[in-house]
Amino acid sequence: MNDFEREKYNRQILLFGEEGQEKLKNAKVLVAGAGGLGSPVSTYLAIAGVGKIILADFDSVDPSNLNRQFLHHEKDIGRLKVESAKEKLLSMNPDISVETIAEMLTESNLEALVPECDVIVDALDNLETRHMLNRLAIKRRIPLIHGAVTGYDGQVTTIVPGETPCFYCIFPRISRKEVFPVLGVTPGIIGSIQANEAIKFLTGQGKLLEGRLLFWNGLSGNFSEISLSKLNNCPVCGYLSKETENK
Amino acid sequence: MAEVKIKLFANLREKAGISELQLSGENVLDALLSLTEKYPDLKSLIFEKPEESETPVMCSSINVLINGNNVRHLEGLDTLLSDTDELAVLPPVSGG
Repeated sequence: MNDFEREKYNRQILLFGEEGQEKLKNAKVLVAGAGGLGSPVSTYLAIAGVGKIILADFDSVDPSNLNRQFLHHEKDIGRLKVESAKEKLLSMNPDISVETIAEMLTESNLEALVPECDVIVDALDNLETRHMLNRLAIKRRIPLIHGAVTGYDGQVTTIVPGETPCFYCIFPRISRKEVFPVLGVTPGIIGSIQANEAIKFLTGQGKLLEGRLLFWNGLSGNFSEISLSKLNNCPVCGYLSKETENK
Repeated sequence: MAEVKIKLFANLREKAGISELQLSGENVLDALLSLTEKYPDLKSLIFEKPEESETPVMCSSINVLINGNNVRHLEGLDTLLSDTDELAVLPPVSGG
C-alpha cells in the first residue's frame, strides 16, 4: 500500500487496520446487476478499495432508471449500463479494476462468464437469475448476498453455502419479472447494507446476516427480521449440509 | 386449534395497518382465512382470484414461512400448526 492509499483509506484503516485494507485490495467481488441496487453496492465497494469489481448487466440505460440508478446520468441514456457504471467507479477510485460482463447470464453461459471471485452480490431484478446465481454460489462455495426491493420495502440476507439456508430453501418459486414501483432511496438503503455485508465478510469483521432475513419498510421507518431455517435435503444445497455432518 | 403469531411485511403490513397479530387455526389455510376475514383488503393479495375459486389457492408470488421454513416445502396450505408457531407472510419483493 502506498502513502496515498494509506491516506485515502485512513478512516476505515482505523476500523480494520492495514491488514483489512489489504484484504479488500486483494478481493474480487461479482456484482450482478448495475441498476438500483448495483449502484450503491458497487459505489461503496469501489470507494472502500475492493481491488476487483466484476459488474454484470446486459441492459442499457433508460430514462426510467434515473430516479435510483445514480451511476447512470442523463447523458448515458442508451449506453450499456456496465460501461456507464465502470466509468463512474474508476473516476471515484482509479486504483481498482472493474471488469464487465454485458451478456445476459444464462444457465449455459454462467460458469464460463463469471470469473473466480470471493463473494457474489445479488443486485438483480428477477427471481430466475437469482436462482441461477444461488446454484453457482453453492457450487463454488462462496457467499451470496441477497438484496431485493419494491416500493418503500426491501430485504437482505447473506447466504453462506453449507451454513445457512440457500435462496431455494427460502424462496423456491420463480414468479415473472414485473415493472415494480420504487423510490430511489429504497435500493440506496438495501444496497448499502449489502455492501456492508460484503466488506464485513472480506475483512472478517462483525456478524453477517446469516440465516436472518432483514426487512426495511421506508413508510414506517422500521427494520424487522425473521430467522430462516435450512430445508432438509434441499436439492440445491442439501449435499453441503451432509458433508458438514460427516466431518 | 393452535395459537400462532402472524407477522406481516411490506404492502400486507400497510394494507392491514398492523405488523403482527395472534390468531388461531388448525393449519395454514385456517390462519390465513381468519387473517383475511379480519383484514379483507389482504384477500386479493394473498389468494388467487378469491371470488372465483371455491378452494382457496395462495398467490404464486406470496411466501409463507413457519418458523423460517417455507410452507411450499411443507404441506402448503394444509401444513398443520402448533402453539407458538410464528408465521411470516411475505409479499413478493424482487426488484433491484
